[in-house]
Amino acid sequence: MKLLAIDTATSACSVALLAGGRIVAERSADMQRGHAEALMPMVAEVLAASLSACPRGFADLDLIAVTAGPGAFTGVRIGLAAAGAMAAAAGIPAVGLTTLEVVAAAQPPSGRPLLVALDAKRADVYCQLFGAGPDSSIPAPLTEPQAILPADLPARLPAGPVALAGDGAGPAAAALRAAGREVLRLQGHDRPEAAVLARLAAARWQGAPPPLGSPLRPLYLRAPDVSLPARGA
Amino acid sequence: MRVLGIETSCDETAAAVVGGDRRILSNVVLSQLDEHRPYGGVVPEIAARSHLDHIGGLVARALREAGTGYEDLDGVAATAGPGLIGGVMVGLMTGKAIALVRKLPFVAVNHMEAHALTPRLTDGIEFPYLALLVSGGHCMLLAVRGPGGYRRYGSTVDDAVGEAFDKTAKMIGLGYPGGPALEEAARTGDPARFDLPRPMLGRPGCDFSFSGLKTAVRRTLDALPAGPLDPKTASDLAASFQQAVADVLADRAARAIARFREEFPGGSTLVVAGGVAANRHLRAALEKTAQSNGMRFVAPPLALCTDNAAMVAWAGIERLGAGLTDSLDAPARPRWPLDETAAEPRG
Repeated sequence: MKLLAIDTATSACSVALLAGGRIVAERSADMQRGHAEALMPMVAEVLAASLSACPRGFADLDLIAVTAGPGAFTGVRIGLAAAGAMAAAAGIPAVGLTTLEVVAAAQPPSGRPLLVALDAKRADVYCQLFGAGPDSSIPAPLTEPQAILPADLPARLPAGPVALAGDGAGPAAAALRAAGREVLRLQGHDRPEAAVLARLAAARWQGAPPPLGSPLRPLYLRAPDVSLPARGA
Repeated sequence: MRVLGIETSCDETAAAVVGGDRRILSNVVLSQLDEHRPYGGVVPEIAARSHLDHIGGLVARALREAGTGYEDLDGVAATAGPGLIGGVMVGLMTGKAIALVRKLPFVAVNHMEAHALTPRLTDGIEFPYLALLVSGGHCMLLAVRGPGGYRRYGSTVDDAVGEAFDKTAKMIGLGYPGGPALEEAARTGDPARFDLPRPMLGRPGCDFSFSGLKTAVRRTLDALPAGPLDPKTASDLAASFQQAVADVLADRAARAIARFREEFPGGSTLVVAGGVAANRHLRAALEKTAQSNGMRFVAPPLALCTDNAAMVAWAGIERLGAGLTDSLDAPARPRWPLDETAAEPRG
């Protein structure tokens, strides 16, 4: 399987191409803004660096994978709009994976449940709990993705020690420790990475790609910040 | 030559395919009116989400209706601003992605340039011409010399004209969207019943101002008995407001015609475009101004005055024809003056 993976959902922008089970080329940069400018040149660079595996470029790809959120609303839309249009124009399917599962898939096995907490730029964090399966590169979710205040975390987690990862792990760890919970903070892969996304998507859809034109759905986890006007205003 | 156009800068998601021979092969527009109506105005985050939900399906439909495959396209044009940035990003990334995959030239279109060039698509008029662009976010008079070639004669110093329509309609209680609702109410109203000011009328230059007019409507309402307006009064006030706007636009346009004539003796057309150009009363007033000043008057059909993607595709064709393309790192620009050398216009 040959697939292109892109991520623009958080404060980084990355692109990776996977062919024959390995990452052939990847590009990545930290950025708070500017994803809309950076993404397409990065895709072009990755394709140019993958000519041995994909000499015909997009025509050789089987799948596009993208992080569908949760993350920055605009960043999520940049990735999904680009992935959907690339897939349609190339005549191949596109799939969306969550930022939370991609961060989870990057963590080393710790033997405990893994809580991924991502910075939501608000009081709450985006988080999800994953099981300590035999293969940590394929995360097994124990909860749904949710936006939650760190202070509410201790009551929501099963008893016992947990591992913690993600760029929202700081406040989450503080809240858990304050509640007397034992926390193992995993370091080094706190944000989604296109290369991890590519491996995860390849593992999930190997041999059974989704049908052409399957819709990509954003995962915002938060309603638009707007209130109805007062009556009569 | 066939170009795909994409428009997502406000509250319409649109895609179109236009030919270099000025044929509109498809033109699909999805309005988000119902999604924004409860809020009495466009909510940017709701707009951006809706654009993302619909853009893929609309592009597919525009290609299908045009009988065009990706392989038949010669270029992709997408609105890159000015507008609501979250929505603009959706269309911009869609356009860039298609251009990259299909190895097509890409054009990042200025939404106001697309409005300004529409009369060349619909009526085939020649450069140079004088354009009055009136919309929810803009009000300006420009000499149009060619793609990318604009000289601004005047613009609003406060509210855009569409903004004034929407706010006034809200004050009178005419519902959303305000522009069409106000025009409908004004149809049966007496434009002479309320004596509203004509800001800037007779003043030198070609600038506009509408905030004083809006305030005058507020004062008029405050002076009326409390409680809901009777339909006759609402209609009369709407008609009086619309007439005041028409008088101001006509006066400013007449001044701009004089200046345009001096600078471009070869030009003889006044164009009005943009969403507010869908207002029939304003069109009629401007047509009269053009005629009495010896100018030809051109206004695109109503459906091509409001936001659409055929105009974006056409702007792409014009710019490609002039050798103007953009790279795939082109930014979305929430504010983007047409005449880059001038100071940024307000409104």
